[in-house]
Amino acid sequence: MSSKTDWTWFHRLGSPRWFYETTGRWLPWLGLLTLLLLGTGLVWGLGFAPQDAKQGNSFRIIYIHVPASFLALAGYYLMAIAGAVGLIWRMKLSFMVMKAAAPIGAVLTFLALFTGAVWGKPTWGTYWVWDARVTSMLILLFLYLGVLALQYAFHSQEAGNKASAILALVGTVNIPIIYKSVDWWYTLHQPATIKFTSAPSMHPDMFQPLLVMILGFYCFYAVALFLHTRAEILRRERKSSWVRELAIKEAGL
Amino acid sequence: MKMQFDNFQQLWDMAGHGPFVWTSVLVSLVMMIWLIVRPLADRKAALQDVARDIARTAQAKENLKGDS
Repeated sequence: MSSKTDWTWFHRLGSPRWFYETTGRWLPWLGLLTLLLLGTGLVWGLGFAPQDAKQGNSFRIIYIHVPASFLALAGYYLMAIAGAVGLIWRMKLSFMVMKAAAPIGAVLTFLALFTGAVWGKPTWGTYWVWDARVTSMLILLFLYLGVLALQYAFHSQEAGNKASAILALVGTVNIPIIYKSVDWWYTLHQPATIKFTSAPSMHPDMFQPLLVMILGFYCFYAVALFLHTRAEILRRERKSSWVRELAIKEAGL
Repeated sequence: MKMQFDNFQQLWDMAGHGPFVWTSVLVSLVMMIWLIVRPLADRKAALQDVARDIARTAQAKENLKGDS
């Protein structure tokens, strides 16, 4: 055994080319799995799950609302960690992942807000309330958009990367506030349906399709993140020989 | 497990909640598809840019040879 720690895996992980080629092999399977899970979850949740005793059929919005919110939050952690790794180890790929996570997170946060608003109308009698949960999610949307905007605000890519990463890290303070908002403040929003520490407050017939949808959204997130990162890799590595070879091969030159 | 609706009309209507549920589902699907289609188009455009660049450089070299 060598006395020095073997860091080759770490450097390989940081290689855009390695990332591009590996995810290229995974994507077809991951895409198929995503379609299966989301298809099953939607049909199950919209057609087969029993309706809610109080909310009737409007509760079926949960099958989009909760998974989208989950990934909007988990995606923020991922983006902030990618930014931190980029700042600390100056890993190029890490900044590309951070940039890729921003538009995906923004869309998922928007969907969480939008489906929440549409769900609010028949349940609360209003589309929008400025309560703690809704407002802190709106701040999350602005943080995602801020990280994205800073990418284009500087002439140098490096300055943009640093600014985005710092905003992403500072913004993580918002995440526990979102989680805790339903407990800390009086709010219209119902408490969390799923907790790690106790059984879900939901009948299994309703909960199982939700679990399938959440898994489906996780897979969808991975697919979207891989695709966005791959496009970004090609843009930033366009001068490298492997991208040029790939371009020649695809164009049939 | 049992289908909760007797026909498509009922599924669409959802006892009055259909507009809310289906708006949520359709808007979500459209935006999620966009999250997949946009980077695929970006990837293609990036590779086409590189290929165009390579072709242009090769053409320039060819012209230079012809001049001398």
